[in-house]
Amino acid sequence: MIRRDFLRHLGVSSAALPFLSGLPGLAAADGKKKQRLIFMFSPNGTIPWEFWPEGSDLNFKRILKPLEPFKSQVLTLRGVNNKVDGDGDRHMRGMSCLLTGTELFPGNIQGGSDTPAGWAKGLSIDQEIKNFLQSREETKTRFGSLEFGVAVPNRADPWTRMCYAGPNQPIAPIDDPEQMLGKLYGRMKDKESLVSIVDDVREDLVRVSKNLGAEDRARLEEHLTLVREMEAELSRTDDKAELVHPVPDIDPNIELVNDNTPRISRMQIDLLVNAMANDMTRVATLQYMRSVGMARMSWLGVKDGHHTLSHEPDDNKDAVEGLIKINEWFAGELAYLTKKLSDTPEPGGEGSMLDHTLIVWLNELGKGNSHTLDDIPFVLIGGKGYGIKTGRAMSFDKVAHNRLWLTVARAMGHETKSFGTAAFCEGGPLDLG
Amino acid sequence: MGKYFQFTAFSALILSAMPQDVASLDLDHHPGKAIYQKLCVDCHGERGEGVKGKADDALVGSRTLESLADRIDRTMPEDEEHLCVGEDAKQVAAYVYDAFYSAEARARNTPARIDLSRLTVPQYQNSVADLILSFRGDNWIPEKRGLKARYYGDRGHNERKEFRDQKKPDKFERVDTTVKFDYGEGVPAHAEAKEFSPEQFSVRWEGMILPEETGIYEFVIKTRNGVTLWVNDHDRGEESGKKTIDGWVAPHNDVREETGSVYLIGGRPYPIRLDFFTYKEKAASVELLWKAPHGVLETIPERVLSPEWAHESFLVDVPFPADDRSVGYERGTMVSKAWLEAVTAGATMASEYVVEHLDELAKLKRDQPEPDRDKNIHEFAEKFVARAFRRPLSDEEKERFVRAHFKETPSNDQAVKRLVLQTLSSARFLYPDIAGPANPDQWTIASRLALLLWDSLPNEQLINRLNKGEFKDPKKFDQIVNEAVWNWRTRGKMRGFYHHWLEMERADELVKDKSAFPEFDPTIAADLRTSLYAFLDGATWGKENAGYRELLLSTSYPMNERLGKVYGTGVKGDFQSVTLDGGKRAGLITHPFVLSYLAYHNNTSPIHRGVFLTRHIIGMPLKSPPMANEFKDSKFDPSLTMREKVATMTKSQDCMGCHVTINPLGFSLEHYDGIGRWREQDRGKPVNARADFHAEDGRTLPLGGARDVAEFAANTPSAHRTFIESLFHHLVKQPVRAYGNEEMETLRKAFEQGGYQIPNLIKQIALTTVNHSSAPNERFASQ
Repeated sequence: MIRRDFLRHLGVSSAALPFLSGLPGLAAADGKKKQRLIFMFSPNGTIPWEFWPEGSDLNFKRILKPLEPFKSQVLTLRGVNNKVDGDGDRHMRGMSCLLTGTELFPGNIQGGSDTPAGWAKGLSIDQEIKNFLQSREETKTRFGSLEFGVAVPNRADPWTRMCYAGPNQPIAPIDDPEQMLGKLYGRMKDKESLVSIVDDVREDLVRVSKNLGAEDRARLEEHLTLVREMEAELSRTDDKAELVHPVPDIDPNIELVNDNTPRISRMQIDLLVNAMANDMTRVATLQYMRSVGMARMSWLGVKDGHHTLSHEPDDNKDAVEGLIKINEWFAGELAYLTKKLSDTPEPGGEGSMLDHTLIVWLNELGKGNSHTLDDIPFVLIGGKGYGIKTGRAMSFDKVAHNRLWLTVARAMGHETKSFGTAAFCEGGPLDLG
Repeated sequence: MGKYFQFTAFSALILSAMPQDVASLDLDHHPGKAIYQKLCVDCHGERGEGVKGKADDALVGSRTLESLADRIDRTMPEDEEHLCVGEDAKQVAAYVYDAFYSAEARARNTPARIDLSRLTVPQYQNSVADLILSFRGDNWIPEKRGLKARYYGDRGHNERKEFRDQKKPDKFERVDTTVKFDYGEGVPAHAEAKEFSPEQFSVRWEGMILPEETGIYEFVIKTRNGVTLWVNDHDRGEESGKKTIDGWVAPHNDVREETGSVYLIGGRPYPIRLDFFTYKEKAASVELLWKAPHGVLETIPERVLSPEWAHESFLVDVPFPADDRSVGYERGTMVSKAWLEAVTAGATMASEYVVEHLDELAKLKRDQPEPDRDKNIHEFAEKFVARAFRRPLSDEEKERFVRAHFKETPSNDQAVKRLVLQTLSSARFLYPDIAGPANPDQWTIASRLALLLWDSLPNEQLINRLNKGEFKDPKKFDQIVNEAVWNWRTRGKMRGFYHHWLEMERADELVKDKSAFPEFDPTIAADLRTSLYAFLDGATWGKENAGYRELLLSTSYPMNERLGKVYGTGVKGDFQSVTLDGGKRAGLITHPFVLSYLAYHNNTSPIHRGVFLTRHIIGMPLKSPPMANEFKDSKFDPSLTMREKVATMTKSQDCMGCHVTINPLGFSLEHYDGIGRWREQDRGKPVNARADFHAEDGRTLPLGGARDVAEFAANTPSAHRTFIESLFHHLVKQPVRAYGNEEMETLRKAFEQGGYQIPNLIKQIALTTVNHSSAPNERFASQ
C-alpha cells in the first residue's frame, strides 16, 4: 500500500518533494569522494576467443571493441570462477549464486538433469554494500539501491533473480521504464498531467454552478476555492529547478516486447544515470533478460533465441557469429552507459560521473555450450581512486569470485573479511591495485 | 425547568394523528397563545427556542398532542403545576404543538431542502470501479459456491505427454468447497487420479471471491510446495499480471506461509486463481487462507467462493476523509482540502490504470492499422466521459472533454490519461445531479436510481433499457426498478445500511474480559459478525421468512459449530439456521453479536442496549445526558445485579427524564449476558426483565422481556417510521421531509400494504424520489 500513500500527497503540498532535492551530498562536504557501483548482467556466457584480450595489454577482440574509447578505464579479469556448488543447474547457480556467492536451498525448481533447487541462501553483494552505505548518514540516499531490468520475464525463480535482500529474499528488477520513471519521479509526472487539466476543471465548475440556486452555488464555491488553491500550489512549486538533472525526456509508454528491447535498454540506462546524478542511489544493478535468456535480437539480424544459439557447438559458424554479435551488442550498451557517465560532470564534485563510479559486467556462465562457471567474463570499468588499476587485462589461477566481491566491497569503503560461503573467501580480496 | 420535555428531536417523525389543516390555523389569535405568553414564555422563549439557564432546550419533540397536554397538565409550570390544568393545558398544548413543537410545525418553520451533494466515499469508490468495469462487461454473483479445480498429473498444469499419447487419464476437474489439502506423500484422492504420481502433479483453482467487508485483506497460503495466487487480476497469465503471492519456488519441503495483501471493497465479486505444483518433493500440501478486516486468519470459507469467473475491478485505495454524518447519516455535503486531494489522487490512479489497460478497455486489436486504432480510442474516450457524466455528451462537451485532449498532444496515451484525469476531477462526475435539466430527464432518473440503490452509476443494462425508451413506459419502468433492487449491488448498499442502523462500528474493537467470558475470543467475534450479516441478508432478501417483522421476531440465527458450543446448540460444521434457547429470542435485538457489542467487556449494559432500542427500534428521540455520568462498576456493592446498579445510578429526576424510557427497554434484555447468552440469574439472583414502558402515545406497556419490545416495534407505526427513515437516509442521503410532508406516510402505508417486505420498501423509496425536480426547495417552501 505504499503506492496510495505516495499518491496521497500528490503535488498539492507546498512542501512537496524534499527528497528530490539534488543538492550536493554531505560526502562532498566532508572531503570524501562520492562512490557509486553498478552491476550489469547479460546471460548465456560469451565466446571466449572473441572476448578475452590477448596478453596483459588490452588488445580488444570483436566483443569488447565498443569499449575502445574507454580503454584506459577498463580492466578484464580472467580466471575468476563461480565455485558455488550444490543443488540447481548451472544456469540457476550461475545466476542466483553470482552476486550472493553462496549455495541455493534445495527446492522444487527443476532445470536440466540436476537436482531441483530453490532460492539462494544469502544476500547479494550489491545489497550488502547498499546496507553498508545506508547505515551511514553521509552515504545514505533515498533508495539505497535501484534494480533495473531489460526484458526480464515476469516470473520469479532462481533463473530470473540475481539480487537478494537475504536468504530466500530475491529482489525483482523493474524492467518497465514507465514503472521506474514513476518510482523515481512519479509525483512530478503526475503533476504535469494535473497542471494540464486543472484550469479546465476550474472553468467547468464555474460553468455548472451558474445553473444552481444560491445555497448550492455556495457549496460549489467552496470546491472552486480549493481547486484554485491547488492550481496556485501547482504553479508555485517548480520541482524541476530543484533537480541537478532534469527528468529524462523519454516517452515511457513503450510496449514491453522483444523488438523494443534496444529502446527500452537506452531508456533504462538514461534513467539509471539520471537517478545517480540526482543522488537517489549509489548502487544499481542492470539486468538484461535472465539466465537462459531467449532474446531474439532481430535488430542484429539474429533470428534464433539467444539461449538456443548458445548451445550450438563451436564449429557452427553461424551460431558463433550470432553469439558474437549478441555479446557485442551487450558491450555496446555497456559502452553507452559508460559514455553517459563519462559525459556527465560529477554533480558538486570533480571530474565526470564515471570517475566516481565502478561498473562491473557479469555473466552467469563462462561459455554457453559448456555451461562452465569458470572464467566468467568479468569486466570492470571506471572506479578512479577505488584502488583498482585499470587499462589492463588480468589473469588469475582459478580464484573464487567471492574474493572479487571482497575487493569491490573494500573499494566502496566496506571492509569485510568474508562474503557468501566463507571457504571461497580464503586468500582475502583479490589485489587489483 | 423544562427538563421534563426530554423527548426532543433531530429525527423528524411526521405524525398523522392530527390531520389539521395548518394553513387555516390562526396561531396568532390562538387562545393557547395568551396562556403561553403568560405562563411559559419566560422559560421557553417566544418561539419555544428555550431560555438559557431556565429551559435550555428547544421545546420540540414527538409526543402526541394528548400526551403533551397531559404532561403540561401534570408538570407545568414547574412548582406551580396547578396554574395550568384541564382545558388551559389542552389549549396551550395545542398552540405549542402547532406553533413549533411538532414535526409538522418544524417542517413548516424550517423547510427541508434537497442539498446539492457530491459522491460520498462509497459512492465515489463504486462509481469509479463500475465505470471502468463497464468496458469489460458486468459482473454477477452466481448461486454456486466453491472453486473450480483442475488437477493435472504433470507439474506444469498440463497432461504428461506420455500419458496423453497413451490416452491414459492424466487430469480431472471438480469443484472444491475450500482449498485445504494435505496430500502427504501421495496424490490427490480421486477416481481419476489413479495414474498420478507423487513425484509431480499440479492443480489450478479458479473462480470468484466475495468479500463482505471493505479494507485490506491478507491472503495466506500454507504449503510445502510451489504456489502463485492472483486476486482481482484480469491478466492471470503465466508471464503477466500482478501476482498477489508469488511462491513458485519452495525453499524447503516444510510447511511455510506465503502472504500477500489486497485492498477490496466489500459486496463486490473479484476473480481469484491459485496455481499449485509439486515436483520431486517428499510431501505436498496446500491451504488457502485469509484474514478479512475484523476477521481472523481462517481457511477461505466456501460461502465467499464461487466457481464462476469475474472481471477484475479497478479499486481506488486512496484514503479518504470520512463523510459528514452530523445529521445522523453519511452524506456528501462537505468538501475539504483532504477530500480534494483524495479525489485527485484517485483520478490520477484511475488515469494510469486506464492507459495501462487501454488495449483491453478500448477493445483494440493487435496489428490494427493506426487509423482504426485511433478511431477505437476516440470512441472509447467519448463513451468513458459520457458514462462518467451519466448522460450523452453534447457536441460542445465532446469537444471540450474529449477532442481537445487529442488535439493538444500527439500521444493517444497522454490524451487518454489527461481526459480521464479531467473527467474524474470534474463536478459533472463528482456531483451526479449537477448537469441535468431542472425537470429530470431519463438520464437523471437512471443516475439517481443507480446512486440510490447501488451507490454507483448506471450499468450497461440500465442504459440499454433507457435507450430502448423503456423508462417512459410506467409498467416497464416499474420492472426496471424491481430488477435494479434485486441486483447484487443493492445488497452491498444494504450491508452498509445495517452497519449504520445497528451501530456496528461499536463492534470494531470488540474484546471481552477473559475471566468473565473465557469462551469469547476473536474467532467467536468474527463468527458472530458473519452470523449477523447472514441473518440480515436472509431477512432482507430471503424468498421466505423474510421482512421487517422477521428481522424483529425470528427466533433462529445462522450458527456454526464453534458458535454452537458457546451458545448451547449442537450445530455441526458450517453455518446453518438454528433456533436458539427454545425460541426465547427476538430477531436482531437478541442476536448475540448485537448483544455483545451493546454491553460492557465484563457485563451487560442495559443503558447501551436501552438507548439503542429507544432510538433505532422503538423510534423515540433522546437528548444527550444532562451531565456526564460514567458507569463505574467498582463503585457499587458487588452483590447488586446489573439492573439494581443501573436503577440506582439513574434514579435522579435529571436522569429519569430519558431513563424512564431507556431503562425498561434495557432491562428487558437482561436475560442475555455480556456475550448474548441466555441466563436465568445475575449475581446469584433471578434475572428480572420486567418493566413498565411508557410509549409516546401515552400508553403504558408492561414488558416481560425482549419479545415484548420486538412485538411492540413490529406492530407500531412509529417504530416502522424509524426504520423507514433510517433506510431512506441511507439510500437517498437527503432528509425525508425534503420530498414533501406526505412522503413518510406514503412510504409507511406502502410498507404496511407490502407485508413489510424490505426489497419492496427499497423500491418504493426509489419510485417516490428519483423523479423529483431539481428545485424542491422552492416547490415545498411555496406550499
